[in-house]
Amino acid sequence: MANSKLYKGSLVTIILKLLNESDKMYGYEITQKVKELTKGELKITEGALYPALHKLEAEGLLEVEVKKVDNRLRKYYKLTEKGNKETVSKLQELQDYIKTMQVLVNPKLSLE
Amino acid sequence: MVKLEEEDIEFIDNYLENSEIFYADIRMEMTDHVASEIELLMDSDQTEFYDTFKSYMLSNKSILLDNNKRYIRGADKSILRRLWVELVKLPTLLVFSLIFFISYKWLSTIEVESLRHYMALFPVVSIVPFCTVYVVALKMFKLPRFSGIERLAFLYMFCFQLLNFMSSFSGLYIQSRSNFYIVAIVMSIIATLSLLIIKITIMIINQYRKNYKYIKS
Repeated sequence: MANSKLYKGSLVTIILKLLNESDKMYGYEITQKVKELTKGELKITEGALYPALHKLEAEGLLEVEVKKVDNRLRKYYKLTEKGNKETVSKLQELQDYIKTMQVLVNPKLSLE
Repeated sequence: MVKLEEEDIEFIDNYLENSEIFYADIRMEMTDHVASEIELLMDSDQTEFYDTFKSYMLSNKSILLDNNKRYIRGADKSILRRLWVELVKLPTLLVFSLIFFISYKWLSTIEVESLRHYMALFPVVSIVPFCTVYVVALKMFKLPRFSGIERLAFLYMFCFQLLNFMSSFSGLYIQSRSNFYIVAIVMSIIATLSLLIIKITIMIINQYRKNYKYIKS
């Protein structure tokens, strides 16, 4: 992941936000979507993505569905009801963090 | 967009299995990821499957093997997290209290000191039910090697050592009738933990049967 230290703490929020915007996604699709949205600035490695997905699954925030697609089995992830609630709270948390950082980094801009 | 043939997918799967990525659930997801990446590379570079695969593996194999270890550690953590979640639930506390009450009543009717010789057997006896559930379920449902199921052995080992320690510890305290409480508490912890492990084993096996019904052993 680019600028890994800064982005690492937001990985879960990024995953939840993307899943919130689509019905279901698989691992590789998430990495490509992030790459596309950030124009290649942020690249999520599989070593960071899959453990995060498995952790969210174990916590009951995601449910999985395995389907046969393109000659192979594919594991799709989608948000549970608990996951939807967690997404709202994580996004709020991230927005508050960005606002606070904005105040610290660029006080003039944040007052406008 | 290039789509890999079934034999190409099988080739990737076999390659990963021969590279000691044994667990079917981890390998399934990794195969899909590698296949998707190879399809993209074949599309952009206009290359054939074997050349693309070879070049991909040259630069990514060590990362994949490292990730495999990471996923296995994740499976262990997930099992321990489940145990913790179950431990702090109200029904667990109620079961513990009930077993404690029954144990205490039972201990008051027997000669407690005679128990000292049998305390060491408690962990062995308590491990039998969940090992039976595990083996019977695997035989009955003919499941392949799944990380979440196979790593339950790690939980069994951990709990067996814990129960063994507790039994040895409580054995030292069985000297008079005043030690009812300690013995009853140890017996309740052993029984509650054993029941929880059986519950977790059944939950995990059922989850894999539901989510991975397409994967055959």
